[in-house]
Amino acid sequence: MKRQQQLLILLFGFLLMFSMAGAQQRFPKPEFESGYMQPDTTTPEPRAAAMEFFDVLVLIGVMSLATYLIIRKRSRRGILWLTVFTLLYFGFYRNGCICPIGSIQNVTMAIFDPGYKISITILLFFLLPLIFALFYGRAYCAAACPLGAIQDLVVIKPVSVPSWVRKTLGFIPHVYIGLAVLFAATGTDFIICRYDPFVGIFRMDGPYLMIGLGIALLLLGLFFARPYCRVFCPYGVLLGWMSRFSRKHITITPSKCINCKLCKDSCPFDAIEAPTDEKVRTEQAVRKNMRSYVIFGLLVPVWIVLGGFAVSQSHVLLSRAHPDVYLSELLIAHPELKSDTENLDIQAFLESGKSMDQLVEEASVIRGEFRTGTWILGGYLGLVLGIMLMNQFILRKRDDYVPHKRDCFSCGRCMDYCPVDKTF
Amino acid sequence: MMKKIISIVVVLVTLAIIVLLVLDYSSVRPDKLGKNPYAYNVDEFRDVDPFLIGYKETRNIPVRDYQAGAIDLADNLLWLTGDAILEAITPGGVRQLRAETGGAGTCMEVVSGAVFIGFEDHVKRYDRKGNLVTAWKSPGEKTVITSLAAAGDEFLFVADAGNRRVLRYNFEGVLLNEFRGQAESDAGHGFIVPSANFDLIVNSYGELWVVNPGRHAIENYTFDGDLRGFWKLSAMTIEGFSGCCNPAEIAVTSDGSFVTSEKSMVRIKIYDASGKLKTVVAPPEKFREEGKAPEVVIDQAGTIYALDFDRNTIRIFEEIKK
Repeated sequence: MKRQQQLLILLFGFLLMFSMAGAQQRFPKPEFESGYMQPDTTTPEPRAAAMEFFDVLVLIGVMSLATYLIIRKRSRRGILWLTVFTLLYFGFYRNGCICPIGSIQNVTMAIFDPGYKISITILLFFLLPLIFALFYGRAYCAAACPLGAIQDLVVIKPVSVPSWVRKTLGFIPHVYIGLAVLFAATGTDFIICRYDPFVGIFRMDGPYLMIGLGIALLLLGLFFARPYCRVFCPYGVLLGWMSRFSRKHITITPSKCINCKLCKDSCPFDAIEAPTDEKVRTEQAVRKNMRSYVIFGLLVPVWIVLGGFAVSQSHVLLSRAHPDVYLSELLIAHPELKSDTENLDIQAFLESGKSMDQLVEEASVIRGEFRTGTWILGGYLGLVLGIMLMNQFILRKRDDYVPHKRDCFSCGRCMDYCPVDKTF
Repeated sequence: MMKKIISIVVVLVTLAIIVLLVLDYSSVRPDKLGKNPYAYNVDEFRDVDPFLIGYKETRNIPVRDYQAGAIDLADNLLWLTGDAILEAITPGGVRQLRAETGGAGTCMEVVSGAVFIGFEDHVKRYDRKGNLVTAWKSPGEKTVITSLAAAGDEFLFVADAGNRRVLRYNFEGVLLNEFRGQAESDAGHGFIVPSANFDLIVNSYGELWVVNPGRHAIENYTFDGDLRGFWKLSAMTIEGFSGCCNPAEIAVTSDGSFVTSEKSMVRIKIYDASGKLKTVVAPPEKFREEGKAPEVVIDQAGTIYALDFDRNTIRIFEEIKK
């Protein structure tokens, strides 16, 4: 009965979102018989600096409280209510912005473009979740991320998926963060923000595609928990790295594990690792795996070079994402388009006073940056692939069920299910 | 089984999302954007239901030698003025009078014994033979005279678009009063005149009607400038007026109905005295796109003479007999 109620509430929520999507992009504006005049478009003032620091304080507060609830209090309920708060504050009130996920691009651009400055609040938003992850695991994912929050609240009937599917899909965030950094470094675009699937829902406004994408991910999230976090989130890559080295990560059981397996069944993210099967972890197997591990380790540089070479072949294609490169190629191929008064981009270029030679020169510089960038991107992806392959041969010894430090979102569901009492 | 299905769904949805995003990203290119979604396009309002059209164009009289600036109808003669010319022709196009005026007239009012021509910032009075009687002094700076209307043989109302006001003179050129359409109640806003399109008329009942173009309204004032009533219709559709300043020109029939002429999306229509659309005289397709509003006059038989400035032609519209 309770499950049915939850499903009904979710269905109602989705219907609301669909009706919201239908209300977008009305054009032309309606006319009013009453004489009401459409107000002039105004540009809102930027958020006051004090309020931006307030947002940082809220972020610190939420992550601190989440850490306390996970490490000390071991309260899943507390995490749940904190998630609701985050959804309301960082999601619907702050409209999903400012967010650490998108800040990757701001930080990257600030590094590569001397003319681009970022505020200290953006830098803090970028760094603080990583620092927390380094000490306490992914407290940000647990309760401070609005994108994670909206997905976490719709996890109704999570289904475990095979390891190979998770590992294969787990490669996508690396590609995504690589492309996002490449595009931001070359001043091409902020693709993470452009394709944030939930910001349209938070703002109750956005392109049909993005609203639809957000709804699709939420529907998928009913069965495959937090799909954006697990398959796309670029910031999750950084958090995963930090969390892997976290000093005081969430523990499933407060004392000795009784290997009841309840926690593994409770984790919707398949982020709990089972104890090692000693029948499999024989001395011979360990030796064999070690040999494979070393061989694959030696192959990592090969993967890096191969990756760099392969991806660099796409630098011409990828560089066309930059508006200047695309425009220069377009105007060289079709000079007659200069007389197309309907084409706003071309007209904007012509009115800028910039010559065609200047445009081509700038485009060739950008293409050179892409050539270098794609070598680095490919090398990085080769490295990730190489490490993923190496990891196949690690046979760690585990006596208990433990959370996978990189993949665990510290949601606390496993603690809730653990039957072991502190006094046990 | 469930695990397998979900795995397949997850992989397929992920692939679909990646393909969608790549397609979407590659579609946002300067040569793939298609039509500007923010372009000002009123094409859909240019088509008019043929059943609403009650007039047809029967003939026209081209104006030669000069650019016509105003038209009036009196004593079964069409009076025209423009670049330094005052001319009177019969409805058949036969010239009866031609005189020099020495300036570009923008509006005119012909009454028994006098012809008043409005120039940019002053009015001149001529006799019916085209001889200058008096040149009135300009009522002030920024004056842009756009319309004249006589009340009997006593008063001449002058529309000054530059100062958004109506001036009342006697026929000797003495300024009696002026008003700006600002009523004490909330009903009146004052004249909103964004461009030099500000018309007024005195109908056969002696009522003064002034167009408030920025409000898409036609307002009735006492001669002292008190608002008595108004009707307004803002709409892109055929039933109302649109744009910055419409109706740009008006005329009145003997029963008090209004013939309205609009600029930009040019169309001529007839409304009853309360502002209900009666019929369409000429739909937009009859005129140049983004054209000037033809000045309209109407004779006792209901024939409408529209001075089409863009074609420099008097176009004659007669009611379709049913």
